[in-house]
Parts: sequence; structure tokens; C-alpha cells
Amino acid sequence: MMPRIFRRLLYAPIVLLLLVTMTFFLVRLAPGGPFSNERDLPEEVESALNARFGLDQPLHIQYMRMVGGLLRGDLGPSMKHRDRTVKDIISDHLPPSLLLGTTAILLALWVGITIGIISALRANTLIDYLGMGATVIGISLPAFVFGPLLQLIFSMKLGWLPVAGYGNASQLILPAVTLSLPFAARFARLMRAGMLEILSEDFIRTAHAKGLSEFTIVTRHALRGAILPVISFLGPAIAAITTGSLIVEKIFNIPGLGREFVESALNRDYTLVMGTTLVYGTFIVLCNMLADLSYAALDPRVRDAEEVA
Amino acid sequence: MTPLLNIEALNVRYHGVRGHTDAVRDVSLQIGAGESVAIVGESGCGKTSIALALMGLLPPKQITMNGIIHFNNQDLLSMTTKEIRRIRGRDMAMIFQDPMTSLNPYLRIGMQIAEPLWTHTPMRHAAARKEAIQLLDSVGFDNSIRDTQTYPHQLSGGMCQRAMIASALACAPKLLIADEPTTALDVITQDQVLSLIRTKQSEHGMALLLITHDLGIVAQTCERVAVMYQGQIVETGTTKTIYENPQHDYTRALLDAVPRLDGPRVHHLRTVGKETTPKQREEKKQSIQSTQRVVLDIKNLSVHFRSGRRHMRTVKAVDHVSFALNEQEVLGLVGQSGSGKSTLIRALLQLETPTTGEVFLKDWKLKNLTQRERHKLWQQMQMVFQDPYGSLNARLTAGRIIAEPLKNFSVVPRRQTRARVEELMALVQLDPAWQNRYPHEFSGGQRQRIGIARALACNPHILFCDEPVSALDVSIQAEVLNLLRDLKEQLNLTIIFVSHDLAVVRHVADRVAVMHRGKIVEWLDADRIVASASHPYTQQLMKAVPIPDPKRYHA
Repeated sequence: MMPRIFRRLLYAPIVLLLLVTMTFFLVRLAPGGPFSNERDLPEEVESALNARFGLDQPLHIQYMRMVGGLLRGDLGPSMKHRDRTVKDIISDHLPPSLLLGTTAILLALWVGITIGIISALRANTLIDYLGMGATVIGISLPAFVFGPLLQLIFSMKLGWLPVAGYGNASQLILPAVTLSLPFAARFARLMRAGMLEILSEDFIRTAHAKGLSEFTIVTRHALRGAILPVISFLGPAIAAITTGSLIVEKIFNIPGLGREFVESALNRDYTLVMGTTLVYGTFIVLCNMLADLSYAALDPRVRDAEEVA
Repeated sequence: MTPLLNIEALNVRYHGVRGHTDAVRDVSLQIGAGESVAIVGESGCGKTSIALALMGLLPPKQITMNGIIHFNNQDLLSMTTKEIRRIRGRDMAMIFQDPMTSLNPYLRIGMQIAEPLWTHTPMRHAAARKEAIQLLDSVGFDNSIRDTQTYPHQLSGGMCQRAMIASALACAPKLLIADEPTTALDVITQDQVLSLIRTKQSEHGMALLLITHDLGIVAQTCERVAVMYQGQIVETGTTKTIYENPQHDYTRALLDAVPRLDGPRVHHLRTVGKETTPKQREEKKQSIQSTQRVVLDIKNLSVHFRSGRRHMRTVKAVDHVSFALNEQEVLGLVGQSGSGKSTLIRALLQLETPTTGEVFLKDWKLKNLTQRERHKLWQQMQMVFQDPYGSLNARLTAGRIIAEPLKNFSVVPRRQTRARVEELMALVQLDPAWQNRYPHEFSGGQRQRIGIARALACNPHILFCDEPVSALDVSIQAEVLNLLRDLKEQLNLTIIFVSHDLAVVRHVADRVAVMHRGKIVEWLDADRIVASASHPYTQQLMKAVPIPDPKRYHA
């Protein structure tokens, strides 16, 4: 196990450096700069601003400064939000996103795995058809339809839950459900397929021959292998949930990082773009690593193959 | 006294999308306590369906079943699932054909063995663990405490089957059902596993129901035999009477189909079914003796692998092997799994880089070949693979599978491809009209014929056959072996025939090399194998070959 973790940890900074470099040049390739597209600033004000943020320097100097700053953990000041550093903005807006994302992924796993298992055990019955039909809707229904729909029913008509906002648990329910829907649907489909495949294996017949109960066979013998496709998808799913939270944050008026991410790009807020990209990038790299490691932890054959390789 | 197991007029019918199949028809069978009974028949005859019916493991939605199954004074067919579950694994246990896939790859061996204990006894944790270790000890694991912690893929097929047996024996069942328990194993391992089953049977005084296609292993293990054909039991009797005085034609054919180490070498094995009389062919007697021209010259060939943690261990898969293969010679290569046979072949085909040594194909030194040179080489060396199910692309028709090498090696002009495919199919005794069928529409033996036709398509000098019959039933094995013999005489083929079974090799080969731990330990003349074998390993291999003659064992 250990060498594998080390190898992945070695790759991580390289991946992140590539990400940082590409982000740096891509934002600068886009037309306009942080101070160019608002109302026309006087020439001398704009150049003073550019000088203040070091944007008058040659590109390679800017790049070296940026990398140097990152190595010291300094993301720099925001170019748009006056008197706020990128670090401030991230530490303000990351927690709501993180909370929403985590709730959504846990919800998606719980619902998806449950529906998947039930569908597999009742394959080709009405229950299965209902479950799989629901997943098709879940995958194809966009958040900007599903979210308002939930608001309409549970807030406006029934009055059970608050329409929007951030601060207490009841306000988290609707956005988390909205965000988790497509992922729960995918997990359910993967789980069902994985379960059906494992249940047709020879060793499941052996388990039956030992006189084990249906429950033991599913939980002890089938679940581990059947959940592997779900685990493989978990890395990309977590990434998609965190970066995809923008629309949901907008609908439910949650002060999350997703909104800052998009606005920073539109505003050419170079430092904030870099900061948010780096946060998401690190998160995605970590999630994929975790998914791979848990895959190896679940399947002893993968573990051994890694050791020899 | 009522027998332990009483089956009367059992019928099992499978319902498919296109109508139904009667897998078991009007079968009656009794097994007394402590008795060992075999059901013998080829694949598809319904023998496994009986076993699954006993265990209550048939899919209830796809079958209808009627008749009587009484076990231990209980009526199994009227029981609820829950009641049957209490019997499975406790009073009646089962081991399966493929030990590698029948054990759960995600769970440790120890836990899989202890599982029946947790389920059927109040034994828990430490006690169950101790019991599991003892069970592993009793089936021949030498480091049981460590091995409870291993996973199935870390063990060999034989060890996995031993673990399966340990798990089946955990609750000391009254009846053990063994469904083709050794078909996936090599001869020596088969011999060891069978003797383990016999020992355990007499130790525990349990009854044994052995299900197999191989009459050879029955003679040694069972007291009574039921021969099954197309869902029905056609003959039952004590092992002695069945072997000495078989009544039914099918039983006799089945007995004759087993290649034997004792007795004279026959030219054609008798086959079961329609093709019993092979077409009389004007045999080119003069070609039986091989010429003395060397086609393949192997000098001091070694292939070493590094394995284990941090590649610390060197495995000598092939260890300084030298021999010359003459034109039109059939060389048999014998050894148990892991002896290096397959690696040797892979090295000869330049699929493995030799650590030392040289290989010459006529005057051509095979070393550091370019892609183009290897392509040229493979036109001259072709291979017939072990598993006729896995080695044919299920999405191509038989005709296209056979035509592929024709196109790939540009053997014949494109216009003649079809004619050549038909010629090849006729050569391997397949109806050329079947060329538009897909592999799954053929039986195992027919598929292996397709594999042979494919290998012969580009007119190779040398044909490598890697265990070509070990995945086949005895009756079909005989057909394929006869075919290979015919082809050898018709086409003057040079063949390297790899097998773990000396009796099979003896039937086709001129000369036999015995391989053990990467080395060739002995050369034998195929006509005088029994007389000339001297190396202890060869003796061991010979002893392991089951002989369909109960007198040998119950003297």
C-alpha cells in the first residue's frame, strides 16, 4: 500500500503546477484585464492600478512572482474586491460550498446505493422498473428545473422548508437534494449493474450452498465487489458536485465558492481565478486519489497487482 | 433401513425464452449413509441439475420440478427456503468445478472457511478461527495460521480446491456433493484432491455424490455408478459391473473414449455419438516415421522472471532447455501446471524474451526480431489454444475467424478466401455450411475444431497445441485427439503438443518430453512410455493418471 500512496503524492504537486501554469496563461490570453472593462478609467489611474498589482511587469516575471507567492501560501490580494485578499474570500465562501457538497454526496451515495441494490435484487420486476425509470428522470432533469420545482412545492405550497438562504440545517435540505439528484441516479445505475454482475458469479452460488441468508450474501459476499464501479465514479463525481454547485448556489442564494469562481473569471480577477482554481484542483486531485486508494483497499487483487508493478 | 438420500422420479424442466428444456427426466437414485456414488455423463446431460436440485440451488422462477427428494428422513421439495438453508452447508455440502471462481476473491480464506460455522453452529470469533485453522491443517495446508489470512488469488487452483473442501467439511456434513471437483486441475493435483476427498469421506463416514464426465476418476473413488445420458440415467450398478460388463452402448463408448496409459496404443479412440466410425482414409503409412530434418533447434533456452515483493525472487520458468524438433514429428510436452510448458512455448513464439539461449527455425536465428519479422515467423508457427470458449471472438462468425489469418498473412488471393475457408472446415470435419454461425452456436469440441482450422489456415510449419483438450469432456476429447492424429498424417504436420495428461500425450505424440520446474527431466518414446519411464517425477505423473479399472484400486 505505502509505495502507491507515495507515488500518488509525488504526482499531485506536478499536476497542480501544470494546472496553475495553464490557468495563468489562459486567463491572460482572454481579452481585457481586471481594470479595463468597467467605465473608462483615466489613463494614469489604470496604469497606476496595473503597477500596484504588478501587471506592468513582463509576463515571465509575473509568473515567477505568482508561483513564488503560492509556494509561500500567499494567494495575493483580490483585484476586484477592494481591500480583500483571495485567502479571505476563499475562507468566507468555501465552507458553505463544502458543507453543501458533502451533504449532497453523502445523500447521493445513500439514496443511489439503496435504490441500486433493491433494483438488482428485484431485477425485472415493477420495483426495478420504477427505480430505473426514476434514475432516467434524475439524470436528465437539470438543477435549474428541479430546484425551483422543489421550492415551489415544499416552500411555497406546503411551507415546510425555507425557500432559500444559508445559515441553518433546514435551509440546507432543498439545495442538497437538488444537487445530489443526478449523482444519486448515476450511483443507482452503477450499483445495480455491479450487483447484478456479482450476483451471477460462481462464488455467490458457493455462498448459497453454505446455507447463508440472503442478507449475509448481499452484504458480506456481494457488496464489496458490486460497489467498485460506484467507487470508480466517486472521484469524478465529487469533483463535479463541488464545481457544479454554482447553479444550485445561485438558485438557493447560498454564499458559496462556485459563484465567486465564475464571477472572478468574468471579472478577470486574475488572483481570485488562480485561488479558486487551485482550491478546486487540489480537491479534485485528492478525491481521485482517495477513490483509487479505496478501490485498492476493497479489491485484494488490485492491491497485489500494485505491489508487483 | 431407509437410505440417506432417496430421489424418485425427479424431473427438472428449464423454461427459456424459446420453449423449455427437460434437463432431468425421471431420475431415481439412492445413496446410503457413508456410500460413495458417481453420476457420470458428458456436459449438458443434466448431472449438475440433479446436484443443484438437491441443494435447492436451482433458480425457482426458471424451472419446474417434480418427483421426490428425501434426505435424512426429510422431504426436501416441500421445504421452505428457510428450512433448506439450515440443511445446506450443515448436513449437505457441495464443492464446485472451478475452485478459483467459486471462492470469493474479496474475502480471506480463513473467513470463508469459518463461515458455515458461524451460520450453523454457535461457534464464534476465536473458536471459529481456531477451527478454521484446524480445517486447513486437515486438508493439507502447511502453514494454516498464515494461510487463513490469504486471498484466493494468492493460492494455486489445487490449494483453492482444498480450501473449498475444508469449508464444505466445516460442519461435518452427512453428504458431500462434488461437482467435477478436479476438472480444472492438472493430473497430479487431481490425484491429490481426489485422495483427500476419499480420506475425508472415510474419516467422517459421510456419503459422497461425485459428478463427473471422467470415468477414470470414478473407478478409484466410488462404489456405485449411475451413467447419465440426455437427462436420463441409462445404467446404474456397482463400479465393478459397470466397468467390466457395461450394458448400455453409451457406457461402453464412454469407457472406450478415455485415453489409457495401460493397454495397447490405439490408433483411433472410440468416440461417442454419431461420428463413431471415422471416415476410412487412404492412410499415408510412409509418413508416420518422421524425417530427420531438424525444423526447430533450441539451445540452452532459459526464461527467468522476477517476482515477489520488490522483485527479490527469481523464478526460473524455463531453465536451460535444449532440444531439436524434427520435421513431421509430434513432440509431447508433459508437466503439471507451473512446470514452465506454456512459458517455453511463448518463448519459442517470441512472445517472451529468453534470458539465455538461442532458437533456430531451420537456418533462421530467432533473436531480437522486428515486428515485421515476427509477423513472418507467426505465419510459420501457429497455435491452438486451451480454452475453446475464451479464445474465439464471440462477435465473429466461424467463417470470419478462419478467414482472418488468410487475410492477415495474404495466404491466398482474396477471391479464393471463401473456397479456402470451406476447404479448411471440411478438413477439420465441420460442415462448411456452418460458416455463418457464431461460436456460441457450436459445442466445445466443434469450437476447438474451428480453432484448429484457424491455426492451419496459413499453412504453418509448426503447430503448437497448448492443452487443446483439457477443457473438453472425455467423449469430445477423443474426437479432437483423433482429428489431430488424422491431420498429422494427412498434412505431415510438425506439432508440439502440450498437456498435463500423459495418457493424452501418449495418444498423439511420437516423442515425449517431461518437464518439471522449468527443466526437461526425461525423454520418452511414446510407444514405450510405461516401460521406459525412470525419473521419479515421471513415475509420479504416471501414477496420477486415473485408470478406468476398479480392479486396480479395490484389489
